[in-house]
Order: sequence, then structure tokens, then C-alpha cells
Amino acid sequence: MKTSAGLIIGIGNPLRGDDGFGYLAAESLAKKLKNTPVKVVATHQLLPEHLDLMRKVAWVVFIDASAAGEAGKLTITTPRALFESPLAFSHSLDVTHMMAWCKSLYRVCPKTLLLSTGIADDRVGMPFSPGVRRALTKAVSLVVKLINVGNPSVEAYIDNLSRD
Amino acid sequence: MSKTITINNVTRIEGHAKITLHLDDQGMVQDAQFHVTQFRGFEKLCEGRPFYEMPSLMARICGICPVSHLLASAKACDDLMAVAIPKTAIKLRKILNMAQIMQSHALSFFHLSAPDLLLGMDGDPASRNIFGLMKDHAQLVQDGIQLRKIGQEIIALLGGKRIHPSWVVPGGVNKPLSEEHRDQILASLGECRPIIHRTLEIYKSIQANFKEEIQTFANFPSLFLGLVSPGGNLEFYDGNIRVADAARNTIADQIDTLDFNDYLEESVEKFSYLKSPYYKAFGYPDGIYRVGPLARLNIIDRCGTPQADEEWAEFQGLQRGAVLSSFYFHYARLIEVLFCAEMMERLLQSKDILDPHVRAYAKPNSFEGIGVCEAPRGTLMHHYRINKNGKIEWANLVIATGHNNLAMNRGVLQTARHFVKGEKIEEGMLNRVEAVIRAFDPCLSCSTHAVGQMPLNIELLSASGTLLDSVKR
Repeated sequence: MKTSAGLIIGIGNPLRGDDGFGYLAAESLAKKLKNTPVKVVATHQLLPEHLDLMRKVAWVVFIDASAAGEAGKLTITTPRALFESPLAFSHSLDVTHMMAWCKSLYRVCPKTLLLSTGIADDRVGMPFSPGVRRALTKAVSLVVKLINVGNPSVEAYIDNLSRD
Repeated sequence: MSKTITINNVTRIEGHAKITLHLDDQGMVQDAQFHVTQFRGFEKLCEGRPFYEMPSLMARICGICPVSHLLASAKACDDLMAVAIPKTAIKLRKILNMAQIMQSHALSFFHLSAPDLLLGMDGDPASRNIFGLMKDHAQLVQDGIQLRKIGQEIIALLGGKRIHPSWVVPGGVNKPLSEEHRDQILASLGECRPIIHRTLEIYKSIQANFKEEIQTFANFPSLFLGLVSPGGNLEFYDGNIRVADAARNTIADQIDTLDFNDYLEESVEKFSYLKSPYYKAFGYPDGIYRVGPLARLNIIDRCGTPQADEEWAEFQGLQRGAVLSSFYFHYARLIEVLFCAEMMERLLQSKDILDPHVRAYAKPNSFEGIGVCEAPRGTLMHHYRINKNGKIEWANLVIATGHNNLAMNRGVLQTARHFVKGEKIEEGMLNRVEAVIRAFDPCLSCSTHAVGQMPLNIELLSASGTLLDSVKR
């Protein structure tokens, strides 16, 4: 197994149907990646404190639901840091702002991958929609495969995707 | 023709608020009101629920200080059960509370107020924020992130999760501390002190730049209220209530927290959902008092830890009698963080901290229960009544931000009178009116149990009520 120190951050609220996509994916990955140097965080929202984890790793995978896009369709992107931020406060950070913060504050930013899916229903108390449930399984498998096979490594995978 | 200015919304505070300034015919500020227009009503929605659900339910009032509500609620439930909880459980609850005070004060100082303090009150609002700080004060921002992270991690290690931990239960806590977690917490606390000392030095180096703000930011005589230990030390969890006046004379001491209703009364204003408690003996509104870091440091005889005591001695020298300017809330917060780091270490090193006996069990033995502790923003009181089946029949919460309501209103008036001139709202004026509120670090969701959003709004109205100018954020 060829695995570099990395970080997985799953974002969402598991009480709100499909919005829990990232959170529950992270919880599942935490069990599967127990014996690897990968740190997995399940969180309701991104926080400035997560920067302290980001700055210490070579790569980070964010997993999050998106209000835009087709429900259940898994999208894999390599986001870019957004430096010209309209944000004045840290109540709602997104991946691009986190990357900018990390670069500004610590002069480093790990290679970054974002796995996301559109949602069908994020009302409180709703279960996962079938499409998002499939996307969650797919996302977890993809990350486990990337880390366990390690060839190409996660960084190389992100590099390749960025070139595409 | 008199006018009114409305600031809508007050920014960089926890929650949302609006300020209205009333001008007289000469354009001078005549009156000011701080409106909290959210409503949630936790007191009502908990009626009919079993009492043992209260800690978990009440913790949902706030995402910033859920631990305070958890603790005050659990203490009220301890009172309903009429049990003395195990000593180790008390120590663990104290550590949890101090971890929260540390992370909350870090949020207030580094994220919310440092942009004003380091970039200036008149700085460009587009960059006068945490992002703007990164450019020239990266170390400070890193320190803020680190300090908050340490506080949050201690909460997660003790309580199982960072927000809304369910570890504190009526009768104690539901799991003892492991040796591994104790050692992890002690290691992280070792990182705290250099950060706090560095930040104290920065704060003290810039304090002299804010003479006008120190003079006018809610700088007036008032009472100060908070918990103290039986020996007069700084106390966040146990102890009794002490009230001191502007000269630092103790006017009521070692009041049993169960008797707080004999000393405090709550009034209601038409313009706000936030209640206005006052000290009963002095009547309304003369019974105005302040709680929170400034008040706590004004009422104590000492902090009780060596490094915090050194800083406290310096703090005391700022003004004769009590330190009256609310600008010094910032300084007081940093001293309290230092105290928390020292005191948590002390408690974690005590012999019985790993004792497995951490919970007392009982059914309700009383129909009425009161729990009081110090939240980051001040004294927090939960008061419940239950029926014979253990269901909540009535609840009343007196929240830190509520205690400060009268003082915040008077502070806004004082600041506005000094800085607001004419009919047009200038940015520097707007920010100073907000900054005086920010100094108190109010938590409006806590105070009104709010639903939805209420951004900050400042309105300028004429004597006849005509809207002359308005600023929204």
C-alpha cells in the first residue's frame, strides 16, 4: 500500500436528508481507513480550525453535497483557491475559501479534490434519496480505491485530473 | 426636526441585531435602542418534556456555547434530584466549561474584535475582517485558530463531540476520563500559554491607541455580578453570587445561587425580545449591572492561579475602583483564557481525576430546580419546575447577554452621543457603535432563543419619524 499522509473532510448535516452525503461518507471512510495515515473528519460545516489539519498534509479530499447539479450524479473536481473573497466572516466557508486561507496563512495548500453530488431532498428528517445513496457508495469506494491501490497516488490522481 | 438612524445589521456578533439612534432638532443623539428581534422560545417548547432530557435539549439553544447551557441545565436537574454529584464529575464539568470559555473567548477576540483592534476602527470595512488580518498579522490569526482548536478538541475529547456533547447528564457525567485523553489534553494545554502571552503583549501594545474608545465604550458606573468561590476566587462552575458596585465595594456576597430570584428581576422592553434583568434592591433601571469577563474580574479578590493573578493585578490598575470601560472586556477575556489554561492543568493533575465514579443516580426529589454557572459571556441561570411525573411544567432562563442588555443600550447611547454627528452615517461612526456591542460579545440566539436571521441594521430617523438614512449589512 502506498499512501501518503492525507486528509478527508466530509461536510453536511445528516439530519437533513441528502445534505448528509459528505458527513456520512466521512463516517464510513473513517472505519475503512482506520489503519492508514489518513485523517478523516466528519463535520457539519467547514471551520477555520480545519486549516490546521490541511496545512500538515499532502492532499485533502472534500466530500460535500451541492444544491446545484443532478441529484445522485457524483462529480469529481479539483477546485482552485479563491483569493478575492467577498467573505467578511467565517460563518460559511467553502472549499475554495479554505484553500485561499491555507495559502495565505501558512504558505502551503495541499492538493485538493472535491467529490460532490446534487441533491433531491434536504428537508429535516428526510431519508437519503436513492440516487444520493448510490453516489455515497460510489464516493466511498472511489476514495478507498485511490488510497489502497495508491497507484497512481492520490496526489498524482489530482494532478492528472487538474490537467484534464 | 429630530431624526433617527438605524444600523441594520450589527456585524461580527453572535446573532443578529438592529440599532436605532434618535436625533434631536440639533442633530445630537437623544436616545439609542439595541433591538434583538429574533424569537425562539425554548422555555415554552420544553414544557411537557421529561426533566432528564433538558441538558441535551437546552444545549441546542446555542452552537457557540452549548456547554454552558448543558451545564446550567444539568445543575438544575441535579437540584431536582437533590443529589450531590461525585467530586470527580464536578472537576470534569469544570474542565469542560473552561475549554468552552477558552474557545469562545478566542472566537470573540481573534475573529470578531481583532480586526477593529489591529486594523483600526476607521479601516476599510471591505478588509477590516479576519481575511484582512492575514496580510500583516498572520501569526495572530494562526494563534487564534490554534487556541480555538485546542478548546474545541478538549470538548470533543471529554464530551465525545465538539458541538452539543451529551456527556454531561443529570447526576454527573456519563463516562470517566481516560488516561490517554487526560495526557492528550495536558499536551495541548502546553501549547496555550505562549499563545496567550503573545496575544496579551499585542493587546497591551495597542491599547493606548484607543483612548477615545476606552472613554466612551459603555464607560459608566454600574453594578457588576458574577460567581465567586467561597474564598473570593474566580469561579466559572460552582460558588455563589457576588454583586459589587462601581467603587468595587461588595454590596451582596455569597448569595446562594438557588436564591437568585430574590435579588434579580426581569423587565421587558417593547423594542426587543431580549429581556432586561436588573438588581431588585436598586429598582429599574437603576439596578443596571454587567456580567461576563469584565464583571468577573471586577468582583473577585483574586483569580487563583499565578500567571492570571499577575495579569489581574495589572488589570486592576487600569482604573480606580472597578474597571468601568467595557472596552476592557477584551483584556479581561485574555486574562480569563490564561486562567482557564492554568486551572485546567491543575484539575487534570489532581489525583482523583481518573476516578471511574462520575455519576449519581436518583429520581426527582424536588419539584423545583435551579442551575447556575458562568458562561463565556456571563452568569447563566436555568430554573425549572416539574410535575409529579418528572415532566417540565415551567422553565425560565436568564441568559448572560440578557443581564448585559441595559448596559449595552446605555453603552450604545454613550458611544453614539460621542461619535455620531449630523444626519449622515459615516463608516467610522457606524463601526464604533457596533464595536461597543461587540465588546460585550453578545450571543443573541442564546438570549432570545431566536429563530431565523436578523442582520444588523442602523436607521437614522427625524423627530417626526421620517427615515433619513439607513445602513444594512
